[in-house]
Amino acid sequence: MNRRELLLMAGAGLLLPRAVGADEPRPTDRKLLVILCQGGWDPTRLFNPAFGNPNVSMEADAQAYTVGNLTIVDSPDRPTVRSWFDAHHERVAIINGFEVRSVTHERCLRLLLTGTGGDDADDWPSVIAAHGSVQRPLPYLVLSGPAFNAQYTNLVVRVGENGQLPDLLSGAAVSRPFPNVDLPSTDAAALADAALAERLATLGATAGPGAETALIEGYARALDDVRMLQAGGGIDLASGEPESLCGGVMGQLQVALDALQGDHARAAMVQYLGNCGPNWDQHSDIAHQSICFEELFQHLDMLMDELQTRVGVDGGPLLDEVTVIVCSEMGRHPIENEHGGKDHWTHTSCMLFGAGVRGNLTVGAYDDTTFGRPVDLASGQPDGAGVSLLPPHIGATLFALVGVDPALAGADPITAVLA
Amino acid sequence: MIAVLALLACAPAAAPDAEAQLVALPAPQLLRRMSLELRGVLPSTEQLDAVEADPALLATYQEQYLTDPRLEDRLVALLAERWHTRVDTFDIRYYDYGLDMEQEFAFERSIGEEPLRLMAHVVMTEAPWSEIVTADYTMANDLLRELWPMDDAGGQTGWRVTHYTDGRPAVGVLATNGLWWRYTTSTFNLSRSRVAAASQLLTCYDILQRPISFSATPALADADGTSTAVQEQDACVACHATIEPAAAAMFGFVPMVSYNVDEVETYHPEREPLGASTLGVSPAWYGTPIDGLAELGPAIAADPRFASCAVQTFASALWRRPTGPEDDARLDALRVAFQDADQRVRPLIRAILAGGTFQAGGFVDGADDVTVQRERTRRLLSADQLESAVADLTGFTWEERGFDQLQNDDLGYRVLAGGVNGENVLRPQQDPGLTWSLAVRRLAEAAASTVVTNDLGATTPRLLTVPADARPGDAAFDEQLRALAWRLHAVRPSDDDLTTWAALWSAVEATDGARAAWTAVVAVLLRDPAFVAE
Repeated sequence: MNRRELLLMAGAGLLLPRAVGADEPRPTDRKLLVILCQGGWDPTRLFNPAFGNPNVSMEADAQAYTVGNLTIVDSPDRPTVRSWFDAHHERVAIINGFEVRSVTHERCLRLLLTGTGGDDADDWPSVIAAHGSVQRPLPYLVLSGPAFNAQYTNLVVRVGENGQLPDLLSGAAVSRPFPNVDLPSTDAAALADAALAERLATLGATAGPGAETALIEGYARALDDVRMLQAGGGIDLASGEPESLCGGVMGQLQVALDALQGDHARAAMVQYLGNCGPNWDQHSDIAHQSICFEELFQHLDMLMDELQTRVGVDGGPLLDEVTVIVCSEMGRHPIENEHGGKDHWTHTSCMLFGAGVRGNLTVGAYDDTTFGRPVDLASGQPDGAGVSLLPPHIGATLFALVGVDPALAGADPITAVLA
Repeated sequence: MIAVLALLACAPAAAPDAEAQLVALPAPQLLRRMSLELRGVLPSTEQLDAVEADPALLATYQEQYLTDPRLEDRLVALLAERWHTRVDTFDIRYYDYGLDMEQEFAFERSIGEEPLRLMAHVVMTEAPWSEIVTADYTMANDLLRELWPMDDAGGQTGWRVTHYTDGRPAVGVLATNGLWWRYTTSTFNLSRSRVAAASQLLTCYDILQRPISFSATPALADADGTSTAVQEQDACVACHATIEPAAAAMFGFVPMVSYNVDEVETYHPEREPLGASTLGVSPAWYGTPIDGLAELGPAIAADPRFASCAVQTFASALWRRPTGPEDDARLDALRVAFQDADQRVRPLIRAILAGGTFQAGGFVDGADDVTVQRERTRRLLSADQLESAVADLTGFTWEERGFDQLQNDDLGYRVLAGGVNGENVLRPQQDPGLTWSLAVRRLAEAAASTVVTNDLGATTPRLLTVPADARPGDAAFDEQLRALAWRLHAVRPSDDDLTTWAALWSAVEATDGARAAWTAVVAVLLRDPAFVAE
């Protein structure tokens, strides 16, 4: 094989066993965007209008506000929240009172995202990414936040806490600290990739079953994914670098949208830590949650605009192809503590909108002690004969919304949410 | 496989059925796996030649590796994958001690490695494993000794035996700041989460996996109700009857103020009695009464699950996969070997290495699907292994601004390279992915550039001995490719492989010159699946 042949093969991906041609028709998979408000938000600042309940510390200046079938907690400090629901309630479903079944951050995160407290499960977005109908270079793109994996670790593409992935792609990861190191020229790098791909093809032909085949095929796919990413055009991962503590996550959301719109990713995660840092975890000064919610909805306002105006793979608005879940790993204790904050609480709420979501709907409710009430999954209404909502119900619902078998989550979906 | 097993000492008494479906790696590749697991570096060419000619020498080299000082670093890396203490952030930051950013990585890694170093020291000194919870010492480096209340015998450098001077009991890792800075508690939690961590790490029993529903405990809506519920409500008592008594023994480590250096770096003996009075229970470990923290370590060591957990921990680490019920027979055999050796870990490692699960390189015809899916016949090198093996081969270490870039995620690429961050990535990546392939590529390119710069034309080359003017077809050129492949992959290359690499060399040399050509070839060999896996 000569140089020209090597380069041609590398460019075309012909040495890569699982390459997907750019011109092949691509079926549309619904996609998932997770916005994780890590730290534990307080549902009584938005989702749980428990006014008049002596067991709940509510804000002094807040009141219930009903728009359509949704009733939220409204405050003069959160004008964006109210206006957002005014504009978009028809597309939004609120799920109230699901029980995470822990009160520690680490365990709650794992429970929320996988349905189990152990380390032997993949999180919902990873499972969704694994069940795409086509190969994507960024199956599950994590701009920030956790990803829990057992089987699908290789499908998670983390940008890195400080944007390390762009540095790896560009070579700055090496050239910055080692300016005297000679990185290969573009042609030499392509030749090297081609030689490696040829070797993988040779080894793949005789690889034994199990881990050996997984190694070869996984490696070939990884090289292919890199090539697709570099050739894909239009996605600038560098703009997804974490911004200043008080800068929010606009940039990361834009990258997530680019990846989903371009069909580079099937799932994406953006973590919003609250205004100016990790401020959802308010064991003191719970009032700061109000600022966090207001800022969150400023981001959601931009996000909804983008989802409605960007064109998806099918030619319609991207909003019809992307399901968005906004969630937090736990709730907060209904009663303020001695420090003016609220401690951890195992019952919480989340919010869904976008593709497949039946909006203008509130599922579930809290009882007088701020425990979740059992729910009829078909109607979404509280029902003493219904089921107590747990993270697997959330996972099953997400799976159903994006076209993955809900049984993989180990629970029934909340069918009321399915449009 | 039977032949190879017979060559190694201390094999388990009987090979369970699942292992009968496994085929061992050829001797040179098995030597490579042993060397990478025990030393973090590749075997020398001479060692590969020797075991290729005489597989019986595997046992000889295994014993050498087991006494190699680099085993200590490997133990730290292996234990870190389960103990999760090598995190990038603690409640107390480097600047709280007046350190600058260049010292951040050293600060974080020193803290996280304290309990790991103690455990590795126990192994290296042939002490029984129980010493990890009964030792009257800890391990510290210069930085920790400077920061924390520790004695200083003087005259030593690096990690060494050290004693806290604040009156903390002799309970090994249970008395290390490193463990409790990772597994924090609060004035509300009062060490309950630390009990769960200790249970999981030392007995492999995860209390928090018990199915519970807080909905069954309506009293939780107020603080007093919570305190009562954990002692009286059935749904709470199931866990808290275990948790509260053990937590009561840990009050010397409970800070009265969070995020306060003085509070969390120092043990507080005067707070020990507060445990029983605050939690309303007498200290105990799973029903065995104890008199405070000093007796907690021995109680854990006497827990039958402690030894089993050690076996499970090291088996899982060296098998490169989680253990499960299907491994019970194998683990039982290893447990016997461990107990027969008075709970010393080197004999346990020896027994694990002698087993078919560690040695697996393939399957017999007709192996069942469950076995094929479960057993790791090829294992990706961990980020730690990649780093140490490449550094040993090429002299290249990937550092920036004081950060070891394959051991952190603040600035580095640990998780992107398949590693564990101890917070939300708790298992090493098992199969290649996009970020892994990019991290490996950049590491390989930089290492290749380094070794070519240093070796070509040098009088004492590290890896490349080829004359700078050699070309494909020259005997020296072909021999260099064969030698590289043998050293890096422990496999004799095929003619087709040699043709591929020679073609790459020629293609790059045509435009970029010989040095760039060798850089490309060495980088490709370092990226090869035969290098990045074992």
